Amino acid sequence: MNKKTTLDKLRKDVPKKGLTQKEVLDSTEYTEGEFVKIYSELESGFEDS
Amino acid sequence: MMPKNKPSKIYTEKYDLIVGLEIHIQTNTQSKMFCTCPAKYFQKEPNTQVCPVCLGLPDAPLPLVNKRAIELCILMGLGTNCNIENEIHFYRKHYSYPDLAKGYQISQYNNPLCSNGYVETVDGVRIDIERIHPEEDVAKSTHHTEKSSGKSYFLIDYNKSSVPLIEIVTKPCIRTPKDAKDFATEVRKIARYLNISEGDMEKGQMRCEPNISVQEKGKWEYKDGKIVPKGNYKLNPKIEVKNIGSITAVEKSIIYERERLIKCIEEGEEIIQQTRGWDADRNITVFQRSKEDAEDYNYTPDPDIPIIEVSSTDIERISEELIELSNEKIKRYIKDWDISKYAAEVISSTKENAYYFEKLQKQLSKELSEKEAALEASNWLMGTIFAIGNLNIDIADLTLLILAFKNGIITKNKGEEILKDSLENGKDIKKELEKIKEEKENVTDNLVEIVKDTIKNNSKAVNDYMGGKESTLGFLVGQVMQNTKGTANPNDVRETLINELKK
Repeated sequence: MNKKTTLDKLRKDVPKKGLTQKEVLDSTEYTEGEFVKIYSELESGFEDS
Repeated sequence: MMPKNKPSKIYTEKYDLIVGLEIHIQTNTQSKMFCTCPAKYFQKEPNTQVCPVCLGLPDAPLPLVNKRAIELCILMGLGTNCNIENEIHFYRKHYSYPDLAKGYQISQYNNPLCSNGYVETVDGVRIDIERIHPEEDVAKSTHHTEKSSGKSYFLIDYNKSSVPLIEIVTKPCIRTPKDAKDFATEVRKIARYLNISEGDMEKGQMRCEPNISVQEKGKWEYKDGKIVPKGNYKLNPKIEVKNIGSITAVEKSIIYERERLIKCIEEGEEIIQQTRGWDADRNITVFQRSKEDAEDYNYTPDPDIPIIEVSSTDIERISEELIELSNEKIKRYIKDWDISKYAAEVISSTKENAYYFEKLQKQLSKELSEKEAALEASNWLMGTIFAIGNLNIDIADLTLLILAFKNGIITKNKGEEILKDSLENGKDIKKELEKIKEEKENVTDNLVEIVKDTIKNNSKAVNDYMGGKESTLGFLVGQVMQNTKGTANPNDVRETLINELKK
């Protein structure tokens, strides 16, 4: 099982820059414009959070 | 079928509506839930706020939990009277969809961080909350069909992937569409008052998904937070509605589903548990898929995230961020200051309005009684300031203006004119009032002369009045007011006119 930590030791809410758009698009097989393209059937057409 | 506000007759006679609401709120954090990417993605270039963690790349570093996102979830729990767990266990909720980079969403399963809370709506209806827990958002996806091949595909922007979310789930205790709408409104107010989220549904910062069913009257009961059948009765399945873009649509979608479900039952059609989408253009719900149960998601503990201990000191520290909420303000305004329920609701609908009102009341109460100050502040906010839609008017200036009105120096119309002039042309309210006061003093000194002139220049009206047509006096008062540019006291003008006309 996972080890434990405390709330106080969690990461502070400070944003940092990650990958560039080019790096993201270069890392995927299919793209269209600024988007990652994924071939898949439409099951529900909505987000499932 | 258009939603009807009035329930159909058969509904009231035979069926009960049962609703549970699931609300997702994006938190006001700077970074994402499990990585340091910026969480503010609105109007950003697609796929520019991402890293290997939120992209779910195989060589990604381990997820690191955002402390503030957890604190805001606890704050939401405290603001909604929940119990707070002393440990946080994150789980992986598995399902396959293009908007989910990792193939699972990090969420909570059993032992949610906050549980068993409640919120009271403006009508005093208590809505029980089953759980509130932190989780991550998914990417933004749009579906398309390739013209050349006819293949189905998605275009994905991962900027939203792993933005912190708070999920709020009520018990199935909501009995009317309006209560569902009022609950969602209340939750949004709490989120805004406590700076947890902007809760803008159009921007996707808040999403509401009602679970709706209709059951035959007398054949079910609400027991331990659950709907259970009585005897051999088989409960009708529930319908989840997604894609709701406004709080009004929460109410509309429930009304629509209530009528649709009753029609299905009455026509002998089998109802299956399903997810439907709200079509705001047509005001209807449309089938999307049959709904999964929790076991379909294969929840497993996330081995990459440690169990997080939450101490009583943590909770005490976070609870310092709690402030008087809208509902408490409404009760206080009514009880202490005799403000009408409607005015109290409007004033406390946003923290900014409420704070402005309270500051104005405090300032006015230096000259007026507490209640009189509250009533004047409420009248001016409701009648003038909210209509102007600007809370940048200096409280001290507005106080002077209101007191000038109370003391008969200006009329309410004149006050509004001065306010607008100040906002549009930058005129100094204090100087304007001093000018009017000065003019008024001059007018008071010269009122008899002005009245005499008015009588001289309006002989026909004077003759009519003297001939018994008393209504002409109003015309003459108006003429004097015009000659004094509205600065004279109408009662003084009337009295002086009558005296002079007698001579």
